[in-house]
Amino acid sequence: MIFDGDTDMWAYAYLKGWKSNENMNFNFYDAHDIRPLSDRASEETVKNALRLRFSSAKQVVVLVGENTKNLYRFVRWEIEIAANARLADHCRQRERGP
Amino acid sequence: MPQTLDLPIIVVNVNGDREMDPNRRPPILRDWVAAHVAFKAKLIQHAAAAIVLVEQPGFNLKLTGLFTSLASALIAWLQVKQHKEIAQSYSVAELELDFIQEQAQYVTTDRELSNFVGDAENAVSREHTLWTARRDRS
Repeated sequence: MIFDGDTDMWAYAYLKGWKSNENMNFNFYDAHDIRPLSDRASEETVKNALRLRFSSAKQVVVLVGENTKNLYRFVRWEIEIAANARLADHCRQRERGP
Repeated sequence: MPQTLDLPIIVVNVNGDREMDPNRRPPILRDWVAAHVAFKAKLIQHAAAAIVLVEQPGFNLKLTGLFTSLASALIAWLQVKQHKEIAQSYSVAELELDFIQEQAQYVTTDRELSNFVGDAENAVSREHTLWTARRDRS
């Protein structure tokens, strides 16, 4: 789950709420539960933890809010990690043809 | 250089938009094929399930055939819709001409005859104008 923690935490909280609601058929594997981070963690520590989280993920959900596009240090970096391999794979497939 | 992984992406617009929002979307996602959905539990769950299906080894959906069929169905639907419009329009014109025909028995003067002919021509003219407009549109 990639999102702007300053502005869109409410949306993430909603998802967790839906997940815990027995009357809703909504479920997701929350990689945020793996190695929780403190606010004082260094950038490298955070990125290491995020790499660990990605290694167990099957899909990535990006919550796009008002300020998401302006966040480069973590949000963009996380999307890059998820997207680059597939972009490269897509380009290779296009070069090879149908 | 970041480590890269091979993960499908679901983009959820927290403002509720169902489609990709070019004003809010992070630039890196511009050229990226991702599922863009609104902030609804069912939509997110369906997108995730669809991705799981598409990611299955051996899954090879021929989208060209699907889109061709959808386009054919859309054209057929539009033509049926247009046929209904024409049928309704002709019914209205028929009623109007019937009504005008009823007036014929009350025509006694040249002035009334002129008005009667004028009404009949206008009714046909309206229908002709509508028909021409529909033909230009189709």
